[in-house]
Amino acid sequence: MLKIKNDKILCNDNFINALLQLELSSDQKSSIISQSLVRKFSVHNFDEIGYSTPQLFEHGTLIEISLLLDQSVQNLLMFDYPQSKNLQKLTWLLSHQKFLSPFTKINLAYCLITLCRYIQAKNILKSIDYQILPDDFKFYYLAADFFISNRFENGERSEDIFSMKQHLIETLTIDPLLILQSCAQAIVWHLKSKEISSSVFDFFIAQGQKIVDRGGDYSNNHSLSIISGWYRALAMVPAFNKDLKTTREYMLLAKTHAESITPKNEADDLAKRHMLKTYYESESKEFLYFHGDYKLAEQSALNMIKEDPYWSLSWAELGELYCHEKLYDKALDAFTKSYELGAPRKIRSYFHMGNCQALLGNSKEALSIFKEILSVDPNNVSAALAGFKYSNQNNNTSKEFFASFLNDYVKRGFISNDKINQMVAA
Amino acid sequence: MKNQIEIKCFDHMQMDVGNLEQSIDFYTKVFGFELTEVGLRASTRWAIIGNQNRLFLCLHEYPEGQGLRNEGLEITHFGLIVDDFSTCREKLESLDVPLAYKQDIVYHSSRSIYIQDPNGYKLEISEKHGGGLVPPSLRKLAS
Repeated sequence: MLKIKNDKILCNDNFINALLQLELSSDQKSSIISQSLVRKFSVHNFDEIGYSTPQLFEHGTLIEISLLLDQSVQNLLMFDYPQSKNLQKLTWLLSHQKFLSPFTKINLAYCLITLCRYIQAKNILKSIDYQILPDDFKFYYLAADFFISNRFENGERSEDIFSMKQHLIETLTIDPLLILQSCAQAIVWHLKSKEISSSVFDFFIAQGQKIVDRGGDYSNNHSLSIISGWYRALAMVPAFNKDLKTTREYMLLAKTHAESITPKNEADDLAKRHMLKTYYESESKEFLYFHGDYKLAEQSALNMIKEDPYWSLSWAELGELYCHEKLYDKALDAFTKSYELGAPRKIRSYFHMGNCQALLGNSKEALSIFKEILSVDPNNVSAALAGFKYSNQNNNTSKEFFASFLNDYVKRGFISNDKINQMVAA
Repeated sequence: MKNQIEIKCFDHMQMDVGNLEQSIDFYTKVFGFELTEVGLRASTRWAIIGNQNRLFLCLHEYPEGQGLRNEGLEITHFGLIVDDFSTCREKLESLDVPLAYKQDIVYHSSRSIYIQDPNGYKLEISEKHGGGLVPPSLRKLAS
């Protein structure tokens, strides 16, 4: 069942528990990100620089959770629901903003970003006098602001933010590891979406190479993690130019640095596993799309899952790999596992299950899935399109059911009739 | 002596409290402290309250510590000098602050009232600085 019934503070999905309550249910398994979200909040000193998370999620994640729990997005955004002890501490900070130091405010903004509360994070950053911040805190402030621009505002302000970071690097002394993290981001978001211009990208890639070439005492776990991330981002540059040899060299450097992390505590262990997981995720794509080697890509995907077996997105990646190879029965198994693990993108995994069922000739199961998706998310264009397409192909009576959704979408301007016809014919 | 450090006054005291809101409320209501800064440190809520004479109390919330018996050495109470000792008792009674003794405690050079805050800490409100005592080095100056 897609919807999650819940009348308690914690539900049976620990990713949702982490995002909504900053606590985990001991009855449920937890992914690296869920554990990291809760752990960071529990141990961080909000006076000190450094609130972080291995991964950030878009605002859409909260929308999906609101659909799964049948709660209003506005309520979730404003924390207007029964709260765990940890969440009460967070909302207490929010309600006492005028008594927070600028440093605590920046960390609070970061914390809110990790929980997909971008509007509140933006308002908190706006209330800080940027000019009075010490150098590293200025940089940290801009890093938080970049996440808001990137994940919530379609990258509108990313170029300006990176230009300000460039100015700080050129005129002040900033921790090289903070700079290196930004260098990795500049590569990713220049190549992926061009929200960072070429000139700014050139500056940051040169800075990153300078920092790593200059060397230093980067043998501690924190440094190794950042340098691993740098090399994985850097590998995107030769990959973009189809230089497979250099791509592989940088990827191996990313892997070596991640493997060199020597966990001394739970945080180190989570960090190492996360760096290796993301390495294998990139490696799987590298083998599949650049080398055309499905078997190696599959092994990388399985290694990725081994590092974080309770992370739904990893199983979905495996499912997409199998779909690429038209192995729809294996893909169905992988997407089913992803769906069972829950959010994020539970609805999308369920949709893929429907698609796999359709491609395996099980139209009844497929249509049932698409219908259930629409009962939870009436604006799910993909489910309505797929449902209409497959019921049309099989002359199924559900065709009218799906058509009614599509007609509504056309009226509301979500999609045109031409687009519908195009996609149904595909 | 050359390496001696001269202390001008007390700056702040850090105390564990059972309930942050209750303690802030007590010190605000009884002594006019104002909430100045709050934060979170490894899940511990804390607050700094200050008064117009720049004495600060740093309150760290430790709910699990309530009712636990301390063993070994401890700070038994802290003392406060107030602007008008003669009206203190009446004010404390009107605010329902528990008084340790029915009467003022009379010392050879000063009087004191003892109260307990919501955490069980003992406070001594004194009529005169140091109970009217003068350190030997200052006696020479006075004479």
